[in-house]
Amino acid sequence: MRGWVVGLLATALAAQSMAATPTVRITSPTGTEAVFGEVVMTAEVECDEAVAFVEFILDGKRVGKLLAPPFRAVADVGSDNVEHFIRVTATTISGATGSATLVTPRIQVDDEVLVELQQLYVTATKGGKRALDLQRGDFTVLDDGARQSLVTFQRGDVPFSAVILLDASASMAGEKMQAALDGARAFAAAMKPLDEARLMVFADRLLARTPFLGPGVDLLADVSVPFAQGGTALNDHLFISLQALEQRQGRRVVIILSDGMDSHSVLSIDDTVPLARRARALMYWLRITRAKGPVAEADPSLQYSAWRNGKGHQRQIDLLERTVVESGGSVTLIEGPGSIGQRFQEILAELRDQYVLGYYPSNSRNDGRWHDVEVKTRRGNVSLRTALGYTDF
Amino acid sequence: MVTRAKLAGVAALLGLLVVVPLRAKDDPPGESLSPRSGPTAQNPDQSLAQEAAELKTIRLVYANALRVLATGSRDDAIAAIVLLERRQAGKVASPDLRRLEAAESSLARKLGELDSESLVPVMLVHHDLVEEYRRLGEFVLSDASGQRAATLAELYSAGSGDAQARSLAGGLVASLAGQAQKEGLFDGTKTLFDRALTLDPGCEPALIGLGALFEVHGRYELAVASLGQLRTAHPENWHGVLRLGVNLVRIGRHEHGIPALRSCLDKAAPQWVAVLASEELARALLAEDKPDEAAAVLRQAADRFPNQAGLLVELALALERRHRPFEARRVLARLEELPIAPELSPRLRYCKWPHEEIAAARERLAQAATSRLPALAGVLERLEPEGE
Repeated sequence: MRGWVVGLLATALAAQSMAATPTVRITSPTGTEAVFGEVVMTAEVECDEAVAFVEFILDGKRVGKLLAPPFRAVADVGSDNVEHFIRVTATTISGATGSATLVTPRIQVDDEVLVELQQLYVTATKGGKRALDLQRGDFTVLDDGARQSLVTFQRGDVPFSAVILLDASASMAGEKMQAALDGARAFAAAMKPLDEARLMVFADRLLARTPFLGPGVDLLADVSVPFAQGGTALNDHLFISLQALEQRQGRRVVIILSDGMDSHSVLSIDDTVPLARRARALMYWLRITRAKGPVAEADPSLQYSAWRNGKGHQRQIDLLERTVVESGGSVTLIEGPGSIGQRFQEILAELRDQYVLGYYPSNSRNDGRWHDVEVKTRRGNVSLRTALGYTDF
Repeated sequence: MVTRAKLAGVAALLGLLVVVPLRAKDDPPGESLSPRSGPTAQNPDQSLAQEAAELKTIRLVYANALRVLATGSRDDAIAAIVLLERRQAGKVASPDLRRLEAAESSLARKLGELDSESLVPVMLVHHDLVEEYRRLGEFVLSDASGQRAATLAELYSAGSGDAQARSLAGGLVASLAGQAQKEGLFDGTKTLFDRALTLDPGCEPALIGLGALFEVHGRYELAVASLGQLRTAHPENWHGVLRLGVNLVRIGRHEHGIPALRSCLDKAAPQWVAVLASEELARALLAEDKPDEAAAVLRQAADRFPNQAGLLVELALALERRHRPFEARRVLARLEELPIAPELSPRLRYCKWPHEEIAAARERLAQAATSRLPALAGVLERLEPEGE
């Protein structure tokens, strides 16, 4: 008798348990492809009993808890090429649980390397004038010392995306500011189809901006032109510009026009350099100086702002200069507002006259390592300027 | 602001025209109030008598100006003192300036002996004359006014002896230091802040001013010492705690600097302080190779202050350090939606001199001076038979 009662109770409990166990199915991601960045995870739950909550666990961490459908969670898995473990658990109101797991794979790159076409934008000059008659065979490209085979060769109007960064700190007030705005406007007006430019006017904060605009549109049409005011946060705005350019295809260009040096950025120039190397933008720095002749070094005994002493100030200058040169662009000292417009036009002409050399690096490993690049020509008296290298991603 | 027309009006008001002929525009500076001697020979008794007469005249005119002040006509009083002092002292240090100093100080000492509270409006007037003389290009008189105001503050503090008097006196001298700082005078500014702290060791504007002065000259250890005292005396001064945290981190004392910065995230702290503290805290955490912690601080701050671009820029940097470029890009995309900020960035605001604390000290002093005008009137009344 007693055995019969116990048996009946066990059967009833088992039946109840079976009926209440939720069935979970992960509907996204599928598990067949690697995932990076923001991932949307969705799941379906079937159960005879009401579901109390559903939890999403990603790589051992709970990233979502939902009380009602749709069961959906969003998380950032980063950009590392690794497997990710997703587990979704549903719990009913009586405490019964059911779960599903999924492993997203990593991309198999052990045996092959995705080699990206490297493009070099080369400015060639002879006797102070652009040399426009060079041929493919005139160039030799060395990547970390190894000679490379050119697969593309072009000269001229490769479309570009440019960010024009105008310093509008208090010291730029008056003629300088007006000349800078006029120069930027004329630059944009002279662009060719498929080129685009955006303007960012900054001081210690952003004062005005445009979206990327193509030719034929007045760059300043929808900009309320600010008064020059405040301090200089060049590094922050360079960082923002490089991030924006990284999302554009083709040739990327940054033109910085400033009469001072960074004094009020959150970021130091050191923070910006890795991004500059990754974005591979050609950088031009139009540096307005106060007097003729060479620019004096910062006085190490002076404090240039609450954030920079003389030594730090000089480091900002040196590193920005080095980054500009490394990008294949140039630093130009401008002694007053008179030549700002002309210099903008010279940059535009230089971009139009550049040679574009493409090659697949023979020594690429996608390992984040810096590659030194050197371009030589057999033509006598011709000087070449291009990026000094790239980061191998 | 003192104008020539105003000077004429004030002179008439005081009856000064009898003893002080108004100087023409091109008159040489430093012409005396009374027909003093030139280089002609005099015997010693004559000289002494003449000196005494001149002192008496200056005291008379100065007392009249203070009577105007006691009626509440501050601007007229300032105009009268400017008239007197420009006439008497001119643009360079001279015996005339010493005579002026002696005459005015002796009268002020007398006032202080009768009622020390009567000195409050007087010292404020001399404080305000520092800037007025700078505007007029009278730099010697400006410096002399600063010295006079500081000396009167010390006299007042010593005469009164209570905590409020020490605080008012310290605040005045700290405000003078703030004026000296505008001229870029490190030693002069520091000396005045030190004098303010001698009067009132807890003087808030002096402690933050001294901290900022040391900081702007790259002397971070000294800045930390001053700002540490400020935090002890005025823990609610968030601006001071921020500067303390920034400078502690600068000299490598992260273990103290990070908690100081973290404390500035308190809801009671002004917005610009909390924003900058978040940025600097994250900066310190990044330097310690803790990008996740830095990102958490910045996310929280960006949620609280969504229009602060600097927070988003630094958050993007933290994410880059964490090898999350896509997420960094998404964060920066939020910048495109932000309105153009009309106000100074917190980082530029930090670079400004701590004028708010100093302006507050000046304001407290102005209120105190107004309330002491009856005291001034009273002692001038009592002074009359002896002084004139």
